[in-house]
Amino acid sequence: MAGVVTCMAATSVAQAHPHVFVEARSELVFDDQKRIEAVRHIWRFDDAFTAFAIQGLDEDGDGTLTQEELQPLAEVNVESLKEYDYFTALFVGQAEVAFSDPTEYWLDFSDGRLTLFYTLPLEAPILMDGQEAEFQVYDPTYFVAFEMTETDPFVLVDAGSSCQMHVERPDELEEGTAQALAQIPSSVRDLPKQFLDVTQTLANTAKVSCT
Amino acid sequence: MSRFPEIQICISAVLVLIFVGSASAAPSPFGVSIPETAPSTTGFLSGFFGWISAQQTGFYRALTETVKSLKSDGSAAWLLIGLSFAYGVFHAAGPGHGKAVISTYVLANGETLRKGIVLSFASAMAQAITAIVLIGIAAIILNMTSIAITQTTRVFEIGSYALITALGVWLTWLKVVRPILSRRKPDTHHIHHEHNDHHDHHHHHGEGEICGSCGHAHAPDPAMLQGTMTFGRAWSVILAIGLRPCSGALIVLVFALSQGLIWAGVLSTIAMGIGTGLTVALLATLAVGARGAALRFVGSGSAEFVHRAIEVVGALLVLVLGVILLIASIGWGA
Repeated sequence: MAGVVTCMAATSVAQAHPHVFVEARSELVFDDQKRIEAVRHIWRFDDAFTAFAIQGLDEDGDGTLTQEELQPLAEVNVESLKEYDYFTALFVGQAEVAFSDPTEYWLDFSDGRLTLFYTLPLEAPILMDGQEAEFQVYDPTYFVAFEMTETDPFVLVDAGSSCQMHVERPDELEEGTAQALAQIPSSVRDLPKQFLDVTQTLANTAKVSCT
Repeated sequence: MSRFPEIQICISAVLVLIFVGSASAAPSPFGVSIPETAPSTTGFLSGFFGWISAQQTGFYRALTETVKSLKSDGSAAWLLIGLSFAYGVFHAAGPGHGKAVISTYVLANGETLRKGIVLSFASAMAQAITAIVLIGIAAIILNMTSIAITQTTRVFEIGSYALITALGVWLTWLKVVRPILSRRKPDTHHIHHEHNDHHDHHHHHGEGEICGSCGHAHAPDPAMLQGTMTFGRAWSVILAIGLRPCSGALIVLVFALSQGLIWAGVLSTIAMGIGTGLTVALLATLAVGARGAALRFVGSGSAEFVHRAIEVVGALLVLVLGVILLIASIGWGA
């Protein structure tokens, strides 16, 4: 039986294809000492997922969804996202930055679509100090398909004039790449090396440098 | 003979790894709508499943678009049915538990082709009906929230995997453990004791099958070869698979409901079920065909041994698959 257990331990969790499509805008928020203090996300969901998510939430049945009615859902959203590291990665220099739990989060429902707003504070604010930061929003497992907004996909808030930003959109996924990505188990946090190059092309990336 | 089970378990575990790769049921990243529990593959099959996955995504998007267009154009119903059917075909062809369980069950239990096909369609339709009934009761009658529906789905999912595991335990008992016991210790008293013990936990034995091969375990039970399928056995398979509704179907149903077009959701779900059934039936057919070819190839001399081996491996595959899915869905080690 030991062999079976070993074999099972080697198996992992996988999700194959996107079932959720998100239009995203993400902001890097600086404090008054020019340090990065938080990430702010604005994520708009596709209409089918929205319809499922808002089911049963219109408590007073008035046909509109208030922020209060949506709050339990917003809470479940951010709590569940933790498991997925918020689909957010921030590197300053070579080091990956750690985030605390989201401080503020709410959902807005308009034009048949839900939009999730939330703030992800850094565990400790980071002074850019001539270093380059790389800010990525994507789901390496491709269960959630992230597409950054057409205009201003990434925004620097209160960064001052000394910071420059360069946005790199993912290459249109080649069919082969999409296929390979569809196979990567979501539980795999540290992706095998051969997949890293692939997922890099999937990432929505902003490169920021401040003088 | 005593080391036989360990070897077989190892072989089947390796087979599961090759064909299944990894099983999964992580919580949804947004806490609503469970991602597909997708045993995914590594190796040469992953390219194929990746292609399937890409197709499925395309159909899924087109499907939700079509539901919307139905509001203004009733003729889009045919397009919806076609897309749903295609989604179902690709859904079942991609990583999923239904086809693996049906195919291995058909092998393990020596089912006939016709019964394999019936089981495939029946379990796919059961899945569609579960989705429709779940949304009908949870969303329409009880107006449950998406969060509560997702939690309910998870209970169904765990129930489904527990049943698959139970099915695997029962098949393993029937095809592996009991033949070994009866060969090693032809003491009927002992065998009957084991049987009773087992019976307390699982209630899907068909009549007369328990001791069908007692005392002559070296020969396949002719009744088995012809595929005597009692209602209890068939239903346990259909229930085990049908209990877990497809997330895609749930989203489409609720989406259709939100558009005031619940009938479109029901239609779509049934079409998905038929598509899924078709693919699973095809795979079950391949499994039965492969078994037949293998038996013919080895000739009458070793046919009996090969037949036994297929049953043993099939039974263990169902068990290992059930355990992997159950563990993944409860979340241990995930």
